[in-house]
Amino acid sequence: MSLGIIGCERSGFPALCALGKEAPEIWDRIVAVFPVPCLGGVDEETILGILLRCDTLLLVGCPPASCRNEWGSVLAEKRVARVSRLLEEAEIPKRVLCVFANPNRLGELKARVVV
Amino acid sequence: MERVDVLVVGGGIAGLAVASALQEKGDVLLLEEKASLGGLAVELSCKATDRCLRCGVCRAAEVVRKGWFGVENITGESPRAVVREKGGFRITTDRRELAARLVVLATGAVPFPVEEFPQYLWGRKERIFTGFELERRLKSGNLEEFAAFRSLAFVQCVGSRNARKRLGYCSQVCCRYALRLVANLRFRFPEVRIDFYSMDLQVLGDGQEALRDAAHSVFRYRSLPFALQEDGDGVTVFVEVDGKATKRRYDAVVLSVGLVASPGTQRMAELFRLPQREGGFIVPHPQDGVFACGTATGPKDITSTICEAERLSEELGALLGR
Amino acid sequence: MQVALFGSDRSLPLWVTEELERIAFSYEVVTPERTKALLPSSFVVVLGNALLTEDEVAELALRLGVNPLRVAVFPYEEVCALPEEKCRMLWRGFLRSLVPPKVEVAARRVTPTRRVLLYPEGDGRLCEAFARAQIPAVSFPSFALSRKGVDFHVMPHDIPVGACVLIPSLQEEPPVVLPREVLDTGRVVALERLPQVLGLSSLRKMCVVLLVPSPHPYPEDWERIFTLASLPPQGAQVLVLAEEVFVAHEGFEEAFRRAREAGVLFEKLPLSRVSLSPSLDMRRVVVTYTPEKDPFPVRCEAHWLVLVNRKTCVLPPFEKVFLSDREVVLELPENPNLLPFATNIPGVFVAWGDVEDLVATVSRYLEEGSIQEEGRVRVDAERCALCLTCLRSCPTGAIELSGDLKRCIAVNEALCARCGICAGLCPARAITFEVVHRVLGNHRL
Repeated sequence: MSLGIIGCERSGFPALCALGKEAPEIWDRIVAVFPVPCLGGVDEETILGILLRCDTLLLVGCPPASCRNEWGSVLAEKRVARVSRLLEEAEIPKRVLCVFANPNRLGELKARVVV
Repeated sequence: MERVDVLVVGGGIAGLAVASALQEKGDVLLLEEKASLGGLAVELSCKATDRCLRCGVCRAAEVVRKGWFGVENITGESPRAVVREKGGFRITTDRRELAARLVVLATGAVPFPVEEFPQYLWGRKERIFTGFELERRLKSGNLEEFAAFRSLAFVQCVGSRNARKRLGYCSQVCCRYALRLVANLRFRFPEVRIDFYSMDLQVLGDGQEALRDAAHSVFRYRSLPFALQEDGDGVTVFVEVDGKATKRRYDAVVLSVGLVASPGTQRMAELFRLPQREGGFIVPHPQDGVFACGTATGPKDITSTICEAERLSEELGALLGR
Repeated sequence: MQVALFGSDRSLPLWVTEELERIAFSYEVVTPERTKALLPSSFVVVLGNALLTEDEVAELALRLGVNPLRVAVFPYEEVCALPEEKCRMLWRGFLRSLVPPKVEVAARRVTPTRRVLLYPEGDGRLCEAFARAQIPAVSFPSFALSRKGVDFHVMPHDIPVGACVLIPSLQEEPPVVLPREVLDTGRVVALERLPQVLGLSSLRKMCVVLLVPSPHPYPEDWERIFTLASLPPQGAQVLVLAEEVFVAHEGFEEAFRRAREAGVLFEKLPLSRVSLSPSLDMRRVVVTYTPEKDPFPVRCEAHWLVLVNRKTCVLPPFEKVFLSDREVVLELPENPNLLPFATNIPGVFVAWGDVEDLVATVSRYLEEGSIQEEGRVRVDAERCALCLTCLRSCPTGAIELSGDLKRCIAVNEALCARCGICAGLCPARAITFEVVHRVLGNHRL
C-alpha cells in the first residue's frame, strides 16, 4: 500500500517527522510528502491530483479547535468526506483520510501509518 | 574562555523563552544538561477532545522549536563550579569555561516521586498510574489497557498541600491537568465511570467551560484516600467518607502528583548559594547578576512560565543596556 | 545558477558538493553575517531539518534580504542518516527541482505603532504598568476603529494604535439569594467593606460568617479572606463557608494553614446547603447549614455576614466599534496557538488575570510585529466574482473590499498569515498563493 501524506506545517508535518524519528521504517511506505501551510488551503482538486501517485492519502493536521487559522482542519475534514464519497461511488480503489496529530499526539497517526 | 552576556542554565521552555527573547539584545548561550531541549513540558501530551482544552502543550512545542532554531545552545553540559568575579561570573562545566555577565537559572521542576508515598503503592504493578505516566501514554497513543477499564479513580494532591512532608504548597497544575485527562478519557471511552478524590478543586474562572464540564462528569469525594492496594483484577481505595473508613473498588487509579524542584535546581541553588523554600524551589530574590525563572522558582503552568520568562527578558534587556 | 548553502556549520559531505558541481551550480556557504554576497537570483538552500514553517522562512528571507520564494529547505538532518546512495539521489532530485519563482516577493518586517487603546478606560494599575513599559495608552469616550495595515486607526481623530486592550467589567452578584428581612438587619456587608466596618467596632465575642462561591479564582479576594486570621485574637469567631478554597497561588496554602491555626473555621460545602434568616431581635443573621460530612444542620448567629460576590467578566462590545467589511465576532477561542490574552482578532487583547503578564504580552506583540511578504498572495480581479467567500473565511480578516466603489478584493499583507485558505476556497480560482517547496524536490504542489 503506497501512502501519500499532506501535512500542515504547524502540526501535521512535524508530527510526521516526529513519528519518522521514532519509527524510521515508515519512510519506506510513504511515496509522497507535501507540507502545506494549512490544511485549509488544500482543495479537492489537489487531493485528487495527488491521488494519482499513491493509493492512500492522509491529510494530517492540527487537532480540531487548535488550528491557528481556526477552520483549516474543519474545511479539510469536509473536503475529505466529499472526496471519499466520490471515490466510493465511482468504485475507485483509493482512500483518503483525515488524521489529527501533532508532535505531542502521535497515537492516531501511528495507528494509520505503522499498520 | 568564552565570554557571553547572558548564560541561561536549563533548556526547558522557561530557558528557551528567555534566551529567544534576548537574542537581539546580547550574546546569549544556553546550557542544558540532557541531550535534548524541551524539559518537562515536551513530555506532556495534547489532550484535546473535539475541543481544545488549552493545556498549553503545543505552545510549549512552539517555544522549543523557536529556541532550537534560533538560540545558541550546548547540550549535555551543566555548570560544575562558579566563581564570582568583577562584572559577572566564571563558570566551569565539564568541558569548558565561560564568563558571563548575567546568569538565568531555569532548571525547572520534576514530578513528585510517587515512591515517597508508599501507602498508595501497595501491590502496584500495572493499575496505578501517575498523571505524568498517563500523559506519556496519551502522547504515544498507547492506551489499549484503558479501553478495558470500566471504572477509574483520580487521586489529587499527591505530594502537595502536605505540611508534614514539608510540601505545604499547592502545585497549581494538578487539578487542571487531571480534569483535562478526565475529559480526554471520557471522550475516548464514554462508558468509563470516574471518581475524583480531592480536597478542593483549584479552578476555574471565565472561559474554562470544558474543564467545568469535566468536573461535572465525575463523582467527587471531598477526601483523600489513606491507602491504595492493587491486586490481580483491580485496585482497592481505602478512604474515609462521611466519617467512616470505607473501601471502594476500581479497575485503575491515577495519582495526580505535584511538582518539586528538579535535582538540577537543587544543584544550582547550592552552587550559586541561593535560598530555597519548601519543595526545593529557588526563592526568586534578585541577587546581583543571578536570576531565576520558570518552575525552578515554584510550580506553575506552561502559560505562566512563558509569561514570566518574557517579563524577565525585558528586565534583563534593560540591564544589558539595549 | 547560484546557490547559497545556509545552516550547516560542519564540513559538507562529498555527496553534497559533488552533485552541486555536477549540475553546474556555483555555490557558497553563507552565514547570517556573510550575506552581502548574495545575488538577487540566488537560491538559498537551508540545510536543516524539514520543519521550517512559512513564518520561519519569511524571517530567514528577511534576514538575508532575498525573495522568500527562493528559500528552499532540504532535510539534511534526516537524510544524513540514510545510506549515501539515497542521499545523493534525494539531493540531486532536490537540486533539479529548484525552479526560479515567477513572482518577485519582498519580505519586510511590519511593526505596529507603539501605542495602545484601552477600551473602556483603564484603571490606575493598568495605565501605570503600560507607562512603565513605555507604551503610551489612550482611551476615548466614543470612537470607531478601522484597520490600516497592521494598525487600528481611531476615528474620527485618525490616531493610529498598534493594539487594543479590552477591559472587562466585573458583573457581581451575591453568592446566595438574600431574603429581604436578612438585608434589613443591616448586618450584611461585601468583602471589600469589611475592614472599614470592623475597624470601628470591637470584635470581642462576635461571630463573623463569610460566604464564598465557586469558582472564585480572584487572588485579591482570597488574600483578604486569609488575613482575617488576624481577627480571632480580639475574640471574634470567624467562620468561612466556601465551596472550594483557592490555594493555587504562591503562598496561599501557607496563609490558609495560618488562618486555620489562628482559629478561623473553614467549612467546605455547596452554598445551596446554607439558609439565612434574621434573628428575632433583628440584630444578627442566623446562618443554618448542613455540612457535607454530617447529616445534622448547624445553626449559628452571625453579628456580621460577609458576602463574597460571584464575579463574571463581561467584555465591552468591541464589535460595535470595529468597522469592517465582514461581520466580526469577538471570540476567545479555546485555542492555545493564540497568546494568552489574545482574541481571534489580531491586535486585540483582553485584560484579565495578571496585569504584568498582559503588559508583557502586548509589549512583545508590539515589538515583534510580523513579516509581510509583498506580492505573495495575488487576486486576479478579472476572475473574481465578488462572492466574498474569501473575505468571510480569512482567519485574520486580512481580506478587504477596496477601490473607489469597494468593487474589488485586496489583501492586507500586513495581516496575511499565508495559510492559503482563501486560495483553496475561491470558486473562480482567482486567488493565487505561491507555495514554496519545503522538502524533497519531486514533492511540490
